[in-house]
Amino acid sequence: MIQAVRKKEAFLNVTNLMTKIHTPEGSMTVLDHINLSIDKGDIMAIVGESGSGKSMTIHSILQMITKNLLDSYAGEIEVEGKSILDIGEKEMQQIRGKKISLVAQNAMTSLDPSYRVGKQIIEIILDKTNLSKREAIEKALYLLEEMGIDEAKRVFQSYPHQLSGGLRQRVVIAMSLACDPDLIIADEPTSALDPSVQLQVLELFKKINRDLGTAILIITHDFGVVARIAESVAVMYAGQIVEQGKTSEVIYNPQHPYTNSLLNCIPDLDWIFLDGVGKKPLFQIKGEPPNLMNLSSGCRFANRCHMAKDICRSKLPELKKVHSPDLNHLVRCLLTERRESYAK
Amino acid sequence: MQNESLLDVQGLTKVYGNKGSLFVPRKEMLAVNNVSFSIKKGETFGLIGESGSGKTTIGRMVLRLIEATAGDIQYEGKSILSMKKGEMDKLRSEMQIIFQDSGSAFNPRKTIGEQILHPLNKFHSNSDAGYQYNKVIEMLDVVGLRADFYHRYPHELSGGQRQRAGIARALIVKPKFLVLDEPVSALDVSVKAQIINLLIDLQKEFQLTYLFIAHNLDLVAYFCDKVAVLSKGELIETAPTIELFRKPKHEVTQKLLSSILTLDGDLGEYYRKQSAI
Repeated sequence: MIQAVRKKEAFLNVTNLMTKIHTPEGSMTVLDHINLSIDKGDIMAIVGESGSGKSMTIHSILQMITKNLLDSYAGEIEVEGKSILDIGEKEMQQIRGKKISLVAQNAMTSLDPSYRVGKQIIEIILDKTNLSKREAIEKALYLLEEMGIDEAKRVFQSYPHQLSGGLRQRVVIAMSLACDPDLIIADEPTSALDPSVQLQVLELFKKINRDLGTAILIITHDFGVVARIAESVAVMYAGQIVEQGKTSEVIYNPQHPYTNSLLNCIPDLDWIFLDGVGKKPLFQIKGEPPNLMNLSSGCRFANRCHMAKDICRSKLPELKKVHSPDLNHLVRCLLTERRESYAK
Repeated sequence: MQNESLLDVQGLTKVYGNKGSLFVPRKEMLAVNNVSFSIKKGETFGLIGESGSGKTTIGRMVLRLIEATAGDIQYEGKSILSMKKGEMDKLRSEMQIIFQDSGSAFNPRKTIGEQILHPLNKFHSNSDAGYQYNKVIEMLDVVGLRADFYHRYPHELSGGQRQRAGIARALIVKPKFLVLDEPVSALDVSVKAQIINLLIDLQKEFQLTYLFIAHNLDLVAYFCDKVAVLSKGELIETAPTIELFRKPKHEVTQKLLSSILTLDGDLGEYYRKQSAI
C-alpha cells in the first residue's frame, strides 16, 4: 500500500476512497482507491476529462452526493486527523464552509438571483460565526475589497445579474472565505471565463494562499491552469488516479501515456515565433473513456493508448512510485514499471 | 485557395436600445461600431476579444439572425442586408452556424437523425424518404459518428458527439460558409482537439470558409489564417495569424494574448518586451 510522506500539518487525508453510486443498471464504482493528502497551505490540482471522477472526488470529500444516488463509501477521509465518513450531518455542516468551502464552476448557481450580493455574504457569516450583524457587514466589505474589487460598496448592493462573470466569480470566492476555511475546493473555477479574467482569478487564488495560508484544491481539465497555479497534481482517468506528483515533475517528466496525451493536447505555439516552421498537427486522444459499468480486467486507458501492449489489456496496473527526484511521484502503468525494472 | 473574397463586411454597426417615449427615456447601447473586414474563399477568419466585445453579435448579423443597424454585408458580391425574406432563406442553405452549447442547440424530444434531417426538409423538401435517410447516414459518417446515432436522443450523447452531430446538421445542406460560434469552448481539452481536427479535415474536403469566434487563443493561433481583435464593439487590429501573435500592435491585443496559459509559464513577459521595442 502506498503511504504518502507526511509533512507536519496535514489537513485532509483521503485513503483508499471507494465511492459507489446507484444507476439504473446497478451499482457503479465511480472512484477506485483514491489517495490524496493535502497539508495546510498547499495548492493542489486534480486534472482529468469529464467523467473521470474529479467532481465525484470532491463531492465525496464534502459528502454532497445525494442520498438516493449514493450507494456506499469505503476507505477513509480524515480532516485534521478525524474521520468524517461516519459523522452526522450536523457535524458535517460545521466542516462545510468553516473548514472546507467550495467554489462551484458556475458562479450563477451559487448565488441567489433574487437577493443582493451583500445580503448573501453576511447570511453565511451570521449563520456560521458569532459575529454581530454590523461586524458581519464590515467583514463582507473587507472580503470584497480583498478580492480586488474596487467598488466593494456598489458590488455589495448589487444583484448577481448586474455583475459581470468575472465579478460574480470574485463574489463567490469572497463568500467561500467568509468563515476563514483551511481549504478551498474550486471546481473548474475558470472554465467559463474569458482568458484574461481567468488569469486574474488564478492570481487571486494564489494571493489568498499567500496572504491567508488557505490550502487550495483546484479541479480542472486544463494543464495550462495546473502549470500556472498548483504545486502538486493528481491526474485522474476513469475513476482512478493514474499519475500523481509535483507539478514540475508531472509536466516535464510525465510517465503515464494519458498524462502525456493530455499535455500534448495543449497547442504548442513555438512555431509562431519560428516563422511558421515546425507547425505540428494538433494532437488528439482517440476514442472515449470506458464505460465504468463494463470494465475489462486490464488497464483502463489501454484502448486509447498508442503504446498499449497485450499485457496492458489483461492486467490492471497499480499506482507505484517511479524513479524520480520527487519522492511522491506515483504512476499507474505497466509499461513504466517494465521500463524501470529493466533500467535497474 | 482562391484569392476571391466570399464575405465583405463594411461599416457594420449595431445599436441596442429603446426608441424612447414620453415616460421612458431614450437609452442606447452601441454593441458593434463600424466594423469592416473581408473573408476570402477557403479561409479561416478568427474573431477574438473579451466577452461583451461584440463577437457573437457580429457572427449573428452576418447570417442576419440579428438585423444590423447600419453598414453593408456582401456575400459573393451580393448585398444580403437588402434581400427579401424569400431570397435570404434560399441563401441560408449556403451559410450555416455551429453553436457553442450543443446541449441547448438540440431539441431533447427528437432523435439526432430527425434533427439532422430538418434543414434538408426545409431546403430540399421534395426529396423522398429513402434518399433523406441515406443522406443523414452519410453525414453522420462524414463527422465520424456511427449510423446507429440516428435513433439516439441528444442526452445520450457526450458533449463532443453532440458537437459532431451539430456539424452534421449544418453540413447536410452543403453550405459554403460556416460561422463557428465558440464551437469548442464547452468541451474537454482532448475533445477540443478532435473537433478542431474534424473542422480542418472538412474544410479541405468541402472547400469551406469559416468565421471562427473563440476565446481559446491557442486554438485560434493554430486554426486561423487571419485574426481580427475586437474591443468594446470596435475592430482594433486585423492581421495574418503569425503576424498578430508575434507582434501585436495594439495594447488590448497584447493584454489579451498575455493571458494564454502555457506549460512553460508566462507569455506576458514576451509581449511586454515586444511593446518596449
